[in-house]
Amino acid sequence: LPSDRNQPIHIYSDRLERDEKTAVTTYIGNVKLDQGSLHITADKLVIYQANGDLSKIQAIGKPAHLQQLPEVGQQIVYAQGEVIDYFSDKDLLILTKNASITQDGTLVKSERIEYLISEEIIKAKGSAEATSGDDRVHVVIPPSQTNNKAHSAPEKTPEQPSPSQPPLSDEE
Amino acid sequence: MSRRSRQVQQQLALVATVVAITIATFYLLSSRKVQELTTADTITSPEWYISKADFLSYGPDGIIRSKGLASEAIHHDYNQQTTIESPKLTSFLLGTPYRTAVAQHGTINSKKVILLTKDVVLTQFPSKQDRVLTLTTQSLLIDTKNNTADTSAPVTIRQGSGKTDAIGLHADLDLNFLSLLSGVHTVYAP
Repeated sequence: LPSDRNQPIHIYSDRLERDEKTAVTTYIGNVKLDQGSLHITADKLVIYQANGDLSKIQAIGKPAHLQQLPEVGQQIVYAQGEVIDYFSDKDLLILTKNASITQDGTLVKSERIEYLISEEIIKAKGSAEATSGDDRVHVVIPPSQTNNKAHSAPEKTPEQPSPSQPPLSDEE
Repeated sequence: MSRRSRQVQQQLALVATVVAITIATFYLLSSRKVQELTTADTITSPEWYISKADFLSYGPDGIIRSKGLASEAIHHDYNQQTTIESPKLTSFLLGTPYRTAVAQHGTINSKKVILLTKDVVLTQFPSKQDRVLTLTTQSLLIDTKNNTADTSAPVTIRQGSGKTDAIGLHADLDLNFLSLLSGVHTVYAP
Protein backbone atom coordinates (compact mmCIF):
# COMPACT_ATOMS: atom_id res chain seq x y z
CA LEU A 1 0.00 0.00 0.00
CA PRO A 2 1.22 3.55 -0.55
CA SER A 3 0.85 4.02 3.22
CA ASP A 4 3.27 1.14 3.86
CA ARG A 5 6.25 3.46 3.75
CA ASN A 6 4.82 5.42 6.66
CA GLN A 7 4.61 2.28 8.79
CA PRO A 8 7.39 1.10 11.12
CA ILE A 9 9.48 -1.81 9.81
CA HIS A 10 9.57 -4.87 12.11
CA ILE A 11 12.30 -7.46 11.56
CA TYR A 12 12.59 -10.76 13.43
CA SER A 13 15.48 -13.25 13.15
CA ASP A 14 17.50 -15.81 15.05
CA ARG A 15 20.74 -13.82 14.93
CA LEU A 16 22.11 -10.47 13.80
CA GLU A 17 25.51 -9.18 12.74
CA ARG A 18 26.28 -5.49 12.46
CA ASP A 19 29.40 -3.99 10.87
CA GLU A 20 29.62 -0.42 12.12
CA LYS A 21 32.31 0.52 9.64
CA THR A 22 30.25 -0.34 6.57
CA ALA A 23 26.88 0.31 8.31
CA VAL A 24 25.65 -3.07 7.07
CA THR A 25 23.32 -5.11 9.29
CA THR A 26 22.72 -8.81 8.50
CA TYR A 27 19.80 -10.73 9.97
CA ILE A 28 20.33 -14.48 9.87
CA GLY A 29 17.93 -17.42 10.36
CA ASN A 30 14.12 -17.49 9.97
CA VAL A 31 14.04 -13.84 8.98
CA LYS A 32 10.70 -12.07 8.79
CA LEU A 33 10.14 -8.42 7.81
CA ASP A 34 6.80 -6.65 8.12
CA GLN A 35 5.95 -3.09 7.05
CA GLY A 36 2.24 -2.52 6.76
CA SER A 37 1.06 -4.85 3.99
CA LEU A 38 4.63 -5.65 2.89
CA HIS A 39 5.87 -8.99 4.23
CA ILE A 40 9.23 -10.63 3.44
CA THR A 41 10.45 -14.03 4.64
CA ALA A 42 14.00 -15.19 3.94
CA ASP A 43 16.97 -17.09 5.31
CA LYS A 44 19.04 -13.92 5.42
CA LEU A 45 18.28 -10.22 5.22
CA VAL A 46 20.94 -7.59 4.65
CA ILE A 47 20.16 -3.93 5.40
CA TYR A 48 22.34 -1.23 3.88
CA GLN A 49 22.22 2.21 5.43
CA ALA A 50 23.40 5.55 4.11
CA ASN A 51 23.69 8.42 6.59
CA GLY A 52 21.72 6.36 9.09
CA ASP A 53 18.74 5.82 6.78
CA LEU A 54 17.78 2.55 5.07
CA SER A 55 18.94 2.64 1.48
CA LYS A 56 18.53 -0.98 0.41
CA ILE A 57 17.13 -4.23 1.82
CA GLN A 58 18.34 -7.51 0.31
CA ALA A 59 16.57 -10.77 1.10
CA ILE A 60 18.31 -14.04 0.29
CA GLY A 61 16.66 -17.45 0.43
CA LYS A 62 15.83 -20.66 -1.39
CA PRO A 63 13.74 -18.75 -2.40
CA ALA A 64 12.98 -15.59 -0.48
CA HIS A 65 9.32 -14.57 -0.52
CA LEU A 66 7.68 -11.16 -0.64
CA GLN A 67 4.04 -10.12 -0.71
CA GLN A 68 2.37 -6.74 -0.76
CA LEU A 69 -1.07 -5.26 -1.36
CA PRO A 70 -0.55 -2.57 -4.03
CA GLU A 71 -3.85 -0.78 -3.49
CA VAL A 72 -6.96 -1.29 -1.38
CA GLY A 73 -9.37 -3.45 -3.33
CA GLN A 74 -6.65 -4.96 -5.53
CA GLN A 75 -5.21 -8.46 -5.24
CA ILE A 76 -2.04 -9.13 -3.29
CA VAL A 77 1.19 -9.30 -5.33
CA TYR A 78 3.33 -12.34 -4.48
CA ALA A 79 6.99 -12.32 -5.53
CA GLN A 80 9.85 -14.68 -4.96
CA GLY A 81 13.44 -15.15 -5.97
CA GLU A 82 16.70 -16.38 -4.54
CA VAL A 83 17.72 -12.72 -4.18
CA ILE A 84 15.21 -9.90 -3.65
CA ASP A 85 16.51 -6.35 -3.60
CA TYR A 86 14.14 -3.65 -2.32
CA PHE A 87 15.09 0.01 -2.80
CA SER A 88 12.70 1.92 -0.56
CA ASP A 89 13.60 5.37 -1.95
CA LYS A 90 12.72 4.32 -5.54
CA ASP A 91 9.96 1.90 -4.46
CA LEU A 92 11.74 -0.59 -6.70
CA LEU A 93 11.92 -4.35 -6.33
CA ILE A 94 14.49 -6.45 -8.22
CA LEU A 95 14.07 -10.22 -8.13
CA THR A 96 16.87 -12.41 -9.41
CA LYS A 97 17.46 -16.18 -9.84
CA ASN A 98 14.29 -18.27 -10.25
CA ALA A 99 12.33 -15.07 -10.02
CA SER A 100 8.57 -14.94 -10.32
CA ILE A 101 5.83 -12.46 -9.58
CA THR A 102 2.14 -13.19 -9.58
CA GLN A 103 -1.05 -11.25 -8.99
CA ASP A 104 -4.61 -12.48 -9.41
CA GLY A 105 -3.49 -15.47 -11.51
CA THR A 106 -1.19 -13.53 -13.82
CA LEU A 107 2.33 -14.91 -13.53
CA VAL A 108 5.66 -13.67 -14.81
CA LYS A 109 8.67 -15.94 -14.45
CA SER A 110 12.25 -15.27 -15.52
CA GLU A 111 15.82 -14.90 -14.34
CA ARG A 112 15.47 -11.24 -13.47
CA ILE A 113 12.36 -9.15 -12.80
CA GLU A 114 12.20 -5.45 -12.00
CA TYR A 115 8.97 -4.26 -10.42
CA LEU A 116 8.29 -0.54 -9.97
CA ILE A 117 5.73 -0.89 -7.21
CA SER A 118 4.08 2.54 -7.20
CA GLU A 119 3.78 2.61 -11.01
CA GLU A 120 2.99 -1.12 -11.16
CA ILE A 121 5.42 -1.64 -14.03
CA ILE A 122 7.11 -5.02 -14.46
CA LYS A 123 10.22 -5.54 -16.57
CA ALA A 124 11.37 -9.12 -17.00
CA LYS A 125 14.57 -10.34 -18.58
CA GLY A 126 15.73 -13.88 -19.33
CA SER A 127 19.31 -14.92 -18.85
CA ALA A 128 21.72 -13.79 -21.61
CA GLU A 129 22.50 -17.31 -22.93
CA ALA A 130 18.87 -18.48 -22.91
CA THR A 131 17.62 -19.55 -26.35
CA SER A 132 14.81 -21.76 -25.19
CA GLY A 133 13.32 -23.31 -22.11
CA ASP A 134 13.10 -22.07 -18.59
CA ASP A 135 15.66 -19.28 -18.67
CA ARG A 136 13.55 -17.12 -20.95
CA VAL A 137 10.73 -14.87 -19.83
CA HIS A 138 7.56 -16.86 -19.23
CA VAL A 139 4.22 -15.09 -18.81
CA VAL A 140 0.93 -16.71 -17.92
CA ILE A 141 -2.33 -14.80 -18.26
CA PRO A 142 -5.21 -16.89 -16.93
CA PRO A 143 -8.10 -17.68 -19.28
CA SER A 144 -10.62 -15.91 -17.11
CA GLN A 145 -8.95 -12.66 -18.08
CA THR A 146 -8.70 -13.42 -21.82
CA ASN A 147 -12.35 -14.62 -22.01
CA ASN A 148 -13.64 -11.56 -20.20
CA LYS A 149 -12.56 -9.48 -23.16
CA ALA A 150 -14.55 -11.74 -25.53
CA HIS A 151 -17.70 -11.73 -23.35
CA SER A 152 -17.66 -8.09 -22.62
CA ALA A 153 -19.65 -7.35 -25.91
CA PRO A 154 -23.51 -7.23 -25.22
CA GLU A 155 -25.27 -10.55 -25.94
CA LYS A 156 -28.18 -9.31 -28.12
CA THR A 157 -26.14 -7.30 -30.56
CA PRO A 158 -26.76 -8.76 -34.06
CA GLU A 159 -23.60 -9.77 -35.83
CA GLN A 160 -22.12 -6.78 -37.52
CA PRO A 161 -22.40 -7.48 -41.33
CA SER A 162 -19.03 -7.41 -42.84
CA PRO A 163 -18.96 -4.98 -45.74
CA SER A 164 -19.04 -7.86 -48.25
CA GLN A 165 -22.03 -9.72 -46.56
CA PRO A 166 -25.80 -8.73 -46.93
CA PRO A 167 -27.55 -8.00 -43.51
CA LEU A 168 -29.15 -11.11 -41.88
CA SER A 169 -32.90 -11.09 -41.13
CA ASP A 170 -34.17 -12.05 -37.58
CA GLU A 171 -35.81 -15.38 -38.58
CA GLU A 172 -32.46 -17.04 -39.47
CA MET B 1 64.40 -60.11 69.83
CA SER B 2 64.42 -61.32 66.25
CA ARG B 3 65.32 -58.96 63.43
CA ARG B 4 61.82 -59.18 61.98
CA SER B 5 60.08 -58.04 65.19
CA ARG B 6 62.52 -55.13 65.54
CA GLN B 7 61.52 -53.91 62.02
CA VAL B 8 57.86 -54.11 62.92
CA GLN B 9 58.49 -52.03 66.04
CA GLN B 10 60.31 -49.34 64.03
CA GLN B 11 57.47 -49.11 61.51
CA LEU B 12 54.92 -48.79 64.28
CA ALA B 13 56.93 -45.99 65.87
CA LEU B 14 57.09 -44.16 62.52
CA VAL B 15 53.31 -44.41 62.01
CA ALA B 16 52.70 -43.15 65.54
CA THR B 17 54.91 -40.12 64.93
CA VAL B 18 53.12 -39.19 61.66
CA VAL B 19 49.73 -39.46 63.32
CA ALA B 20 50.86 -37.28 66.22
CA ILE B 21 52.13 -34.55 63.87
CA THR B 22 48.90 -34.59 61.83
CA ILE B 23 46.77 -34.20 64.94
CA ALA B 24 48.92 -31.35 66.21
CA THR B 25 48.74 -29.45 62.90
CA PHE B 26 44.99 -29.91 62.61
CA TYR B 27 44.54 -28.73 66.22
CA LEU B 28 46.67 -25.66 65.57
CA LEU B 29 44.87 -24.67 62.38
CA SER B 30 41.39 -25.26 63.68
CA SER B 31 41.77 -23.04 66.71
CA ARG B 32 39.26 -20.24 66.11
CA LYS B 33 41.68 -17.46 66.83
CA VAL B 34 44.17 -18.36 64.07
CA GLN B 35 41.51 -19.09 61.42
CA GLU B 36 39.61 -15.96 62.24
CA LEU B 37 42.69 -13.81 61.84
CA THR B 38 43.53 -15.25 58.40
CA THR B 39 40.12 -14.80 56.85
CA ALA B 40 39.45 -11.52 58.58
CA ASP B 41 42.73 -10.19 57.34
CA THR B 42 41.83 -10.69 53.60
CA ILE B 43 38.10 -9.67 53.64
CA THR B 44 37.76 -6.67 55.86
CA SER B 45 40.92 -4.82 55.12
CA PRO B 46 41.43 -4.28 51.37
CA GLU B 47 44.81 -3.55 49.91
CA TRP B 48 43.70 -0.03 49.03
CA TYR B 49 40.50 2.03 48.93
CA ILE B 50 39.88 5.17 46.90
CA SER B 51 36.79 7.32 46.99
CA LYS B 52 35.99 9.48 43.92
CA ALA B 53 38.51 7.59 41.84
CA ASP B 54 39.63 9.23 38.62
CA PHE B 55 42.20 7.37 36.58
CA LEU B 56 43.63 8.07 33.10
CA SER B 57 45.79 5.98 30.78
CA TYR B 58 47.91 7.18 27.88
CA GLY B 59 49.42 5.50 24.86
CA PRO B 60 53.15 5.45 24.11
CA ASP B 61 52.51 8.49 21.92
CA GLY B 62 51.30 10.40 24.97
CA ILE B 63 47.73 10.64 23.67
CA ILE B 64 44.98 9.82 26.15
CA ARG B 65 43.57 6.32 25.64
CA SER B 66 41.09 5.74 28.44
CA LYS B 67 39.63 7.49 31.43
CA GLY B 68 37.82 5.94 34.37
CA LEU B 69 35.69 7.50 37.09
CA ALA B 70 34.18 5.70 40.07
CA SER B 71 32.56 6.85 43.27
CA GLU B 72 34.54 4.12 45.06
CA ALA B 73 37.35 1.76 44.06
CA ILE B 74 38.31 -1.03 46.47
CA HIS B 75 41.17 -3.42 45.71
CA HIS B 76 41.55 -6.82 47.43
CA ASP B 77 44.89 -8.58 47.35
CA TYR B 78 43.62 -12.12 47.98
CA ASN B 79 41.79 -12.30 44.65
CA GLN B 80 43.53 -9.44 42.86
CA GLN B 81 40.14 -7.82 42.15
CA THR B 82 39.08 -4.22 42.26
CA THR B 83 35.41 -3.44 42.79
CA ILE B 84 34.19 -0.12 41.47
CA GLU B 85 30.95 1.67 42.30
CA SER B 86 29.10 3.85 39.75
CA PRO B 87 31.86 3.42 37.21
CA LYS B 88 32.07 5.57 34.08
CA LEU B 89 34.71 4.36 31.63
CA THR B 90 35.59 6.26 28.48
CA SER B 91 37.82 5.03 25.65
CA PHE B 92 39.33 7.56 23.29
CA LEU B 93 40.17 7.32 19.60
CA LEU B 94 42.87 9.71 18.42
CA GLY B 95 42.28 11.80 21.46
CA THR B 96 38.50 12.14 21.12
CA PRO B 97 35.94 10.27 23.24
CA TYR B 98 34.72 7.26 21.27
CA ARG B 99 32.93 4.95 23.70
CA THR B 100 31.66 5.35 27.22
CA ALA B 101 30.34 2.64 29.53
CA VAL B 102 28.46 3.38 32.73
CA ALA B 103 26.89 1.03 35.26
CA GLN B 104 25.98 0.77 38.92
CA HIS B 105 28.72 -1.73 39.79
CA GLY B 106 31.83 -3.17 38.28
CA THR B 107 34.83 -5.38 39.00
CA ILE B 108 38.24 -5.38 37.35
CA ASN B 109 40.41 -8.49 37.64
CA SER B 110 44.13 -8.94 37.26
CA LYS B 111 43.75 -9.73 33.57
CA LYS B 112 42.13 -6.29 33.04
CA VAL B 113 38.73 -7.85 32.33
CA ILE B 114 35.95 -5.55 33.51
CA LEU B 115 32.55 -6.92 34.51
CA LEU B 116 29.93 -4.18 34.60
CA THR B 117 26.58 -5.00 36.22
CA LYS B 118 23.22 -3.32 36.79
CA ASP B 119 21.93 -0.68 34.36
CA VAL B 120 24.86 -0.96 32.00
CA VAL B 121 24.83 1.61 29.17
CA LEU B 122 27.48 1.50 26.48
CA THR B 123 27.46 4.50 24.12
CA GLN B 124 29.40 4.83 20.90
CA PHE B 125 29.78 8.24 19.40
CA PRO B 126 29.18 8.90 15.73
CA SER B 127 31.90 8.36 13.22
CA LYS B 128 31.25 9.77 9.75
CA GLN B 129 27.49 10.14 9.24
CA ASP B 130 26.28 7.32 11.50
CA ARG B 131 24.27 8.32 14.56
CA VAL B 132 25.01 7.64 18.22
CA LEU B 133 24.68 3.97 19.12
CA THR B 134 23.58 3.05 22.65
CA LEU B 135 23.51 -0.44 24.06
CA THR B 136 21.77 -1.21 27.35
CA THR B 137 21.90 -4.45 29.32
CA GLN B 138 22.22 -5.74 32.89
CA SER B 139 25.72 -7.21 32.61
CA LEU B 140 28.62 -6.72 30.23
CA LEU B 141 32.05 -8.33 30.26
CA ILE B 142 34.66 -6.07 28.64
CA ASP B 143 38.04 -7.62 27.89
CA THR B 144 40.26 -4.55 27.57
CA LYS B 145 43.21 -6.61 26.28
CA ASN B 146 41.35 -8.29 23.42
CA ASN B 147 38.97 -5.32 23.15
CA THR B 148 35.83 -7.43 23.12
CA ALA B 149 32.51 -7.17 24.95
CA ASP B 150 30.20 -10.09 25.73
CA THR B 151 26.97 -10.78 27.55
CA SER B 152 24.40 -13.55 27.69
CA ALA B 153 21.78 -11.18 29.11
CA PRO B 154 19.05 -9.42 27.10
CA VAL B 155 20.33 -6.32 25.26
CA THR B 156 18.69 -3.33 23.60
CA ILE B 157 20.48 -1.34 20.92
CA ARG B 158 19.28 2.03 19.67
CA GLN B 159 20.72 3.80 16.67
CA GLY B 160 19.08 6.39 14.46
CA SER B 161 15.53 5.30 13.81
CA GLY B 162 16.24 1.68 14.72
CA LYS B 163 15.76 -0.16 18.01
CA THR B 164 16.84 -3.79 18.35
CA ASP B 165 16.14 -6.19 21.21
CA ALA B 166 17.96 -9.52 21.46
CA ILE B 167 19.47 -11.96 23.93
CA GLY B 168 23.22 -12.33 24.10
CA LEU B 169 25.91 -10.28 22.38
CA HIS B 170 29.49 -10.53 21.25
CA ALA B 171 31.21 -7.36 20.07
CA ASP B 172 34.68 -6.93 18.61
CA LEU B 173 35.42 -3.35 19.59
CA ASP B 174 38.53 -3.15 17.36
CA LEU B 175 36.70 -4.26 14.22
CA ASN B 176 33.55 -2.40 15.27
CA PHE B 177 31.61 -5.60 14.60
CA LEU B 178 28.82 -6.92 16.81
CA SER B 179 26.75 -10.12 16.80
CA LEU B 180 23.44 -10.55 18.57
CA LEU B 181 23.05 -14.19 19.47
CA SER B 182 19.32 -14.97 19.61
CA GLY B 183 15.78 -13.70 19.68
CA VAL B 184 16.42 -10.64 17.50
CA HIS B 185 13.62 -8.11 16.98
CA THR B 186 14.28 -4.77 15.28
CA VAL B 187 11.88 -1.89 14.75
CA TYR B 188 12.74 0.91 12.33
CA ALA B 189 10.47 3.89 12.88
CA PRO B 190 9.26 5.51 9.63
